[in-house]
Amino acid sequence: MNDLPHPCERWAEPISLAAAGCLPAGEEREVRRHIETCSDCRERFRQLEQLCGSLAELRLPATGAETTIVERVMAAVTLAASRRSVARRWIPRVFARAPAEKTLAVPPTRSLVDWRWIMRHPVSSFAAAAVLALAVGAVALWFHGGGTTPAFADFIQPILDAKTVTFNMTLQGERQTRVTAKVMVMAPNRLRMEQETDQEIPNKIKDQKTRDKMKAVRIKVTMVSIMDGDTGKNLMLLPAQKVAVIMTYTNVPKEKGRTGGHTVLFLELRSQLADARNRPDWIREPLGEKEIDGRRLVGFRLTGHGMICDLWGDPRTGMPVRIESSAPSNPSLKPIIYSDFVLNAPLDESLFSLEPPAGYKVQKQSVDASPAEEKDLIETFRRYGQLRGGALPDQLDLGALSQLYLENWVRSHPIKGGFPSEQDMQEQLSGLQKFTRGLSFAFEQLPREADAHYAGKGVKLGAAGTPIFWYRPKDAQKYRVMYADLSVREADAAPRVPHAQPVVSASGPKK
Amino acid sequence: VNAPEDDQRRLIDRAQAGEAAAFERLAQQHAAPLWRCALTLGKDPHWAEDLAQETLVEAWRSLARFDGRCRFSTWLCGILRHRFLKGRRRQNAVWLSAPDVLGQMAGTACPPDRSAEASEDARRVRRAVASLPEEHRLVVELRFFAGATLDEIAAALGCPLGTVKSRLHHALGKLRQMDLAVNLFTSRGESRESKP
Repeated sequence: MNDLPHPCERWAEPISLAAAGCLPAGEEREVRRHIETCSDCRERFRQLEQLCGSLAELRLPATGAETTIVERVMAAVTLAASRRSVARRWIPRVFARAPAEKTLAVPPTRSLVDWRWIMRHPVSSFAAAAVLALAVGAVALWFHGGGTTPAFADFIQPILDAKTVTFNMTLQGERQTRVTAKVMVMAPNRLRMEQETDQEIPNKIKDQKTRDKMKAVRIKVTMVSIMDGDTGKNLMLLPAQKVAVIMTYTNVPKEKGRTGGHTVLFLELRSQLADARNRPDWIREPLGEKEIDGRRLVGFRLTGHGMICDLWGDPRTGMPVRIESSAPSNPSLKPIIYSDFVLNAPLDESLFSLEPPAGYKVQKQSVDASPAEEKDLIETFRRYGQLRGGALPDQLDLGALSQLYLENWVRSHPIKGGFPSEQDMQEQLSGLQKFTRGLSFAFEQLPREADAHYAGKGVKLGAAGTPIFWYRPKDAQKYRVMYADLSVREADAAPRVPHAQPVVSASGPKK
Repeated sequence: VNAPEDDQRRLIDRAQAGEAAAFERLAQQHAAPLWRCALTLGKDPHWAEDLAQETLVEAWRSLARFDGRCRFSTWLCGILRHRFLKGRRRQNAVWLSAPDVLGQMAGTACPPDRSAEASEDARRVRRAVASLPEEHRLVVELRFFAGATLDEIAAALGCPLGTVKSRLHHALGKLRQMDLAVNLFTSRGESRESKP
C-alpha cells in the first residue's frame, strides 16, 4: 500500500478518503490540487475512485422497510402521548348501583348497567377474542421465529383447528370494583362472556354505627353477554333481575363487511398468525424469562393500538399463559389479566343461544352504529357544558363523561323499583350515546395522521378565539380548528397551545 | 439525512417540544439509512427492522437529551449501536453464524440491464469485501453498502473518528491491492501497466 514516493505518504489517507467521498470540501480541494502535480498520487486516486464507484454500486436496496419502521415507531410515539384509556372499554363494567341484596339498608340505588361498551362500535364487543388471537399468534411467532418453516406450520395448526377456546379475564377497577369474566369462544365466531362485578357499596350513611356495619358490604352483579359474529346479534342477560336485552345495531356502514361490522373471530386469528411478524401497528420487545406457578415462561411486550400487552407463554407448547393488558395513558387503571387459556374445552351449543331464557323479561334496544362526525363532537361539548355550568372536560375521557351522564340521569329519574323499563333504558342508552358520541369521532374516526389535539382543560364554553380541538381531515392540507364558542374554522397550521393533549386514534377508520 | 440542516433543526426543535408529526418527518428521513446500518451490523433484515424501530422509539424518548453537538443521524447511530450490542448479547450464536445476507442483498438495487461483465465485477467486489478483516469490512460496508458518513460510522461502531478514517484508508488500500483491483481494472480495458 505504501507505494507512493516518501514525500507523498502524508497524502495517502486523504486521497483514500477523498476517493470515498468522505472529505470536507476544503480538504478535498487540497487533495485535488496535490494530485494535479503528482502523477503517482493522481493514478492512485483514479484507481481508488474507480474502486469506490464499484463499491457504491453495491449500496443496499430500498425494500420499503422504512415505511413499516416509521409506522411502528409512530404507533409507539403516539401511544406514549395518548391520554386515552383504551382499556376502559375492553371490559363491560357495572356501576355502583346494582341492588344485589335488597335487605341491606343501603343508600338509594338502582340497577344501572354501564351501557358504554354496548353502544360503541360492535367490533369492540369482540375485543376479548381479538386479544386472544393476537396473543396466540404473537406467542407462536415469538417462539418459532416467524414463519415459513414446516415446524411452525405444524405448531399453529392445532390452534387454527381449535373448535373452542376459553380463558378468564380480571380487572381491578376504580371504586374497589373487581370484575372477573369467563370468556368462551366457539368457532367460527360466537362468543359468550360471563362477567361478575364485585364492588364495595359507597357508604353515605351519616350514622356512625350503621356506617361501620356497611363498610364490609359488597355487592356482586352477574351479566352474561352472547354475541354472534355471523348475524350481528347480541344478547345480554342479567340473571339476578331476570332481564334479557336484545341489542340490534342500526345504520351499520356497509363497508364494514358482510357480518355487519363484526369481526370473524377465527378468521381474525388466522390473519394474526399469518401477519403478526409484519404487522406495522405492533411493536415487539422481549421481556426475558420468569417463573409463574412453577412453570418457566418466556415473555414479551406488544405495544400498539393504545395499549401495552405483556404476554407470558410456555415455550414448550407455545400457548399464552398470562397476558397483562394496560393503557399507559391511564396509570391509575390496573392491567386487565387474561389467564387459564384452554383449547377445545367441550362447550354446549346452548351456551351460545341467542334466544332469551324462559322467565326472562325481554327488552329490545337499538344502537346507532353509524360513524360519528365532527358535529357529534360539538354536541358532546355542548351537552357537557350544560351539565357542568359551561365548563369543558379536563380531558377527553369516555369513562369520566359516561359516569357524569349516568349520575345525572339517575338524579333526574326517580326510583320506581325493579329494573328500569324498556323505555327508560332506551332513553338512557340514546342519551348516553348522544352525550359521548363525539369521542367516537375523535378517537375512532380520525386517522393517526390527523394530528388531533384537545385543549379544553380550564376553558369555558363561549370563549371565541380559544381553540379547544383541532385535527387535519384525511388527505387535507388545512386543519379544522374548533373554538370554545363551538365554531369551526380552517387554518393552515395547528394552533400553538401549551399543554394541548394529543388525541390518538385507537384504531382509525377501517381502510 | 438529506434534509437541509435548517429544516432538520426546526423539525428537531418541534419534536423536542412534543410534536409527534415533526418526529414522524424525522423518522421518515432517517428510517432507511438506519435500516441499512442495522442490516450491515446485524445481517438479518427482520432484526434490522426491529433495530431501526427500537432506535427511533428510543430517540423519541430521549429527544430532550439531544443537544445538537453532533448531527442527528450520528446521534441515532449511537443509539443503534447500543440497541445492537444489547440485542447481539441475546442472540449471539445466531449472529455469529449468520449467512452473508448482506452480500446477497448488496447490489441488488442495480438496474437489471447491467451487463454480465458489470455483474461479475460486483461479485468480485463483494467477495473481496467479505475477505477483509472484520474491523475493516464493517467500515467499508457501512460507508458504501449503508451509505453512512464517517461520523455515523464512528458512532455506530463506538470508536474514534480517526480510527474510522484509518480503517477505511487501509481497507481501500487492501482492496486495491487484491486481485480484485487487477481484475476490475483489467476488465474495464485498463491494466496496472498503465500506472507510471
